[in-house]
Amino acid sequence: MIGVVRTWLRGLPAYLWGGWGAIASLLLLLAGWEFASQWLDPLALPDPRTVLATLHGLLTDGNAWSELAITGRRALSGFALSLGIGSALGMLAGLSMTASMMARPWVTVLVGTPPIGWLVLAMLWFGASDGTPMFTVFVACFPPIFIGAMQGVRTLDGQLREMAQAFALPPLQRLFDLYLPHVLSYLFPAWITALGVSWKVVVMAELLATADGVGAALAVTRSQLDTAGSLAWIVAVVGALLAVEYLLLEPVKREVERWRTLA
Amino acid sequence: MAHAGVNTAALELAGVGHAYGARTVLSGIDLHLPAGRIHALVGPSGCGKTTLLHLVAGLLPLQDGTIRNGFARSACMFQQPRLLPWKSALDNIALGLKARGVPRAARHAQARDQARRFGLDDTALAQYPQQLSGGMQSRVALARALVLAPDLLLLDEAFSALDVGLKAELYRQLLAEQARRPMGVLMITHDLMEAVRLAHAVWVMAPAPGRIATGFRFDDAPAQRTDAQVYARTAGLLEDATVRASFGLDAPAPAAPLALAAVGGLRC
Repeated sequence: MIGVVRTWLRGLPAYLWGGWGAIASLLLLLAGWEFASQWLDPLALPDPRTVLATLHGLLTDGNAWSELAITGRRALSGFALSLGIGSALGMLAGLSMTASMMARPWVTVLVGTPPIGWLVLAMLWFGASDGTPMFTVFVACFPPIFIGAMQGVRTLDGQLREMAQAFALPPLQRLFDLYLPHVLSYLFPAWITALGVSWKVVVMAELLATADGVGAALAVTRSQLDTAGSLAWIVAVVGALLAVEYLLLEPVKREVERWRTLA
Repeated sequence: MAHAGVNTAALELAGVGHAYGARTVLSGIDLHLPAGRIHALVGPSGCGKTTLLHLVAGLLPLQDGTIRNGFARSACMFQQPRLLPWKSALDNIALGLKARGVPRAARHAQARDQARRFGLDDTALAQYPQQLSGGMQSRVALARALVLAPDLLLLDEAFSALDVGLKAELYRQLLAEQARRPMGVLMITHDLMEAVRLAHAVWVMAPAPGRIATGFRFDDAPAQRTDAQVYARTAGLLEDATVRASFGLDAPAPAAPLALAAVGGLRC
């Protein structure tokens, strides 16, 4: 574990340096925004500097951090629940042909049901508690993770499985040396997709169902016609998502999948 | 790893048969493989050789007959290297030792020892399989089997896909290992010459259903055999009517049949 943290820290500077291209393209987007804002009414599209100043104000007076923390807690706990249950059930379903065939239509139903539908159900079941956004996030994140885990197990090379049997690998070693490394290459992209979904869904759920969190704050700015405030919250949420994905998940993924890139 | 006294363990097959659904692929296979001997099963593709080996390795449930495996430890090498792509060559070699619960440092030391005998240096051992050449991968696969110090080694077309130079090298390494530590080797191959080069006994299988058609014994030490001997014996086997029929070859030229006995082969 300490080793992983150390390699993560050691790889960070080079990784960040490699991110200049991405940063440049983001700055270009910002320039486009600024350009557009010169022609539009500030109520429709305030310029980025006003928005960033608003965000700075929100962050310095301390409100933003607590709202972000509340939203983050809900999104991450729903995501974590999905990650655990979805990965485990998906892998189990992948082990059996029958189970994967049965699970497929269920997952299609889950994917097809709009998150807003789940949200309404969750509001009926859980009221204004944390359970509503958490449940909505859980249901929205579940399908991609479940499918990724199932595909990962199903696509495992039969020859390697036979080899593992011939060398009498005990179940735990089979899990850690054979199944997990292969399945992780399917799971990681699914987890990253699901993380993005969790942030979007949690804000939507909060907007409609709770009295605190970023979504609730957005509802307030909307009712006050405060476009700069709304955009400031959106920038905060997107920034938090980018930070988690590119500073945490992406480097971990690179480390875990080093074998793949060295071919 | 000293083997005190004579190892009397053996692999014993009696009346082994197997069917996939209604299709019988093996029937009535009898085989006796004592320790320290190399037996080859040769036959055309589809004669059930691989099924037989899978039965011996326990990869398929036994349907018919009995298999008594008196050897304590067995190991396998397949036609493809079948290495884990996410593990270094060293960890791949040590895989079977890890399965036996050998601690990390000890299994790495043993794996390194074995690898060195096979000409794999530390640089190669630190690499992932896809960074290694096909020949290196095969060496890693053979090392992974032999590091387990098996009493019974099962080779499933292990050398079929390799070039002649690499084949010769792996034959040498296999025979050297066999000399160091006598083990029973059951190899299946469709290459008659490979069987004649390595084996003490060559069993020729015929298809539909897979059965042993005939067998030949060569009592000299495989490591001592010269190329000329191997060619002469292979030619001798190919004159045999049963062998020709098994491989679906035309009837032999009826000229003076080459006496296999003259080049050291005995029909079992």
